[in-house]
Formats: sequence, structure tokens, C-alpha cells
Amino acid sequence: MIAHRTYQLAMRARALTLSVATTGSVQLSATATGYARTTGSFLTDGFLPGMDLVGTSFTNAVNNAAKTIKTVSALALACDGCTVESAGTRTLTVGLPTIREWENSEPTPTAPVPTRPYVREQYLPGAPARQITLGPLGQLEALPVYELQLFLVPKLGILAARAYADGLLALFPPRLALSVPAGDSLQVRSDSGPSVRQLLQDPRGWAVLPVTIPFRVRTPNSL
Amino acid sequence: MTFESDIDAFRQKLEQRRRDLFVGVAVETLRSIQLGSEITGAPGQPVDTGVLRASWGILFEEPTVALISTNVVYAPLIEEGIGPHGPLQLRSQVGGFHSVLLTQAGFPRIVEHVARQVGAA
Repeated sequence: MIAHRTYQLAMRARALTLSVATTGSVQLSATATGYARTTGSFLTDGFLPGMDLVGTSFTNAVNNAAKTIKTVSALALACDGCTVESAGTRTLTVGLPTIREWENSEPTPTAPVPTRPYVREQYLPGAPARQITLGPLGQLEALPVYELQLFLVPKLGILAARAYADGLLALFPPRLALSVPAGDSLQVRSDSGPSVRQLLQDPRGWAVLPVTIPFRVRTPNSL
Repeated sequence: MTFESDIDAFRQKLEQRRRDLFVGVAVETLRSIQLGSEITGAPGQPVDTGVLRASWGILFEEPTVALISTNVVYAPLIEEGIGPHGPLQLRSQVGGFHSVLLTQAGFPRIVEHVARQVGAA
């Protein structure tokens, strides 16, 4: 039978794998004003002001914690909240904003603040399910929509916002099939594919960019 | 009756059904956005003063182009559920957010539904 809970969790799990920018495993140091490298380029790697990054393999936990990029140059990223740490093999990545407001839940891990991006989830069950094949165990089809509203740091232009949105579009291409319980199928639609909607200004301070992912689910009718 | 007249009658019948299908789909799409639809699952526009709901209209610009629109400035905020204080809480007893989105997602079903009604399916 139609199980929207399962479908929503499958879409959420996919969204959590978003990767917008990464240094890969390289030599990185932390400075009082952010992060630094001596080779390669943060610009080439896709980092942009307003993105939410996390570090891995830094000794000091605060350098691994999520923080928002203020400025970017080839060899330096400016962020608040770093502690000086000498160079070592580490990774910086930008994925789905780390402040997340899942549907009907409080934002985690902290309340949103306009200096940080955050993401809000909405699941729309969409067109009512109907049986599309005949007889016992006929296929029920529903057309839900999974929406992620990206709340982005204002007055930083469109680049970071578009990078997040484009990353999500690439993560949910039309015809992508996700694993759901045996007998069911979940596929991103191609007749009305994923899209990015109008950028809105939230008067609280954020720029809001909704990304919508229509998908089709099919499941055998138990009758 | 001649072969030519049969073909001409068939052409006229097809043209009539095309027009019926196009107009029917446009009207049903407007209904889905404005009032909600059991076909698409769209909730329709929420109502406080009724200005937003009443503002939606349809304009047949060309024989095959229909423009469904509103001139209410806060319509995009209602569509997305984003208001002056962040995400909106729905207070209206009718309607909801994302009616345009859900209508778009359910559009193939609108076409299918109207096609059956006009005998084009």
C-alpha cells in the first residue's frame, strides 16, 4: 500500500548525501580567521561565501564544526569560530546546510539565525493514489512532491544559492529510482521534473530558494 | 457523401475536440489552483479576505495559449508558505500552500481527466 512515511524518509536520506563542494583529502590548516591551504584552490573546488561547511580530521573539534563561509580566495577561507591548527591531511565539505528543519520538527541542532543557511523540508502527498493496472495486486500510483526550501544568507548574490539548488537538481535527476520496500517503486518524474522556484526574500533576513522534486510511487494494491 | 467530405467532417471533429480539450484543461487547471482539485491534490487558495482567491483568472491569449495568473503581490509567498515572519502557519479553514506546484505536478492527470470527458481519450 501507499506508504508516504517511507517515501519521505527515502527522499530525505538521498538529500542528506548532497555534496556541493569539497576539497577532497588535502593539506589544510586552521587560522584565527578560517582555513588555509598552500596548494590547490578553494575557488576551483567550488566554495562560495554563504555556504555552510564542515571539516573532518582536524584535531580541534571546533575546526570540524559547521560554520558559514564569509569570504573565499584561492588559498584561504574566512569563517568565524576557528582555532589555530597546523597543516595536516583533512577535508572541508559543503553539503546540505547543517541547520535542518525537518517537517513538523524543531530546527536542529540550533535555531536558525540569518548569518547561517538552513534548510526546511516539506512533503506534499500530491495527486490522490489510483489503481493504474487491473485485477488483484493491481498497481497503485501516487504523485507526491518533495520540497526543500533553502534559506540562504542574504545579500551575497545568487552563486551560493544556485550552487545548493543545482546540487540538489543533480542529486535528483529525472528517472532516478530510490530503494523502497520490496514491491514498491519510487522514481523521480521526468514528465514534470525537479525544478528550482522563484527566489523570495524572507523579511527575517534570508533569501529563500525552494527546490521541488516531483516523483512517482507505485505499489501493489493488497486487494 | 464523398471521401473528401468524410475526411473534412473527421477533420472538423478532431478540431472541435482539440478546442474542447484545450479549454477544458485550462479551466480545470485554474480550478485546481484557485479552488483545489481532487484530481491533483492541490488545496486551492487559502481565504482570509478572499482577495487572493478571487484574483486568479484565465486569459486565452491565443488559440493554443492560456495564461492563468494573479496580480496579488503576496501570492508567491502564499504559494511557498513563506511570510513576513518566516514559514507561515495555515489559519484558513480552506485552501493551503503549494497549489500551483501541486497543479503542475498533477497536470498529466488533468489532461487525462478532461480528455475522457470530451471523448478525446
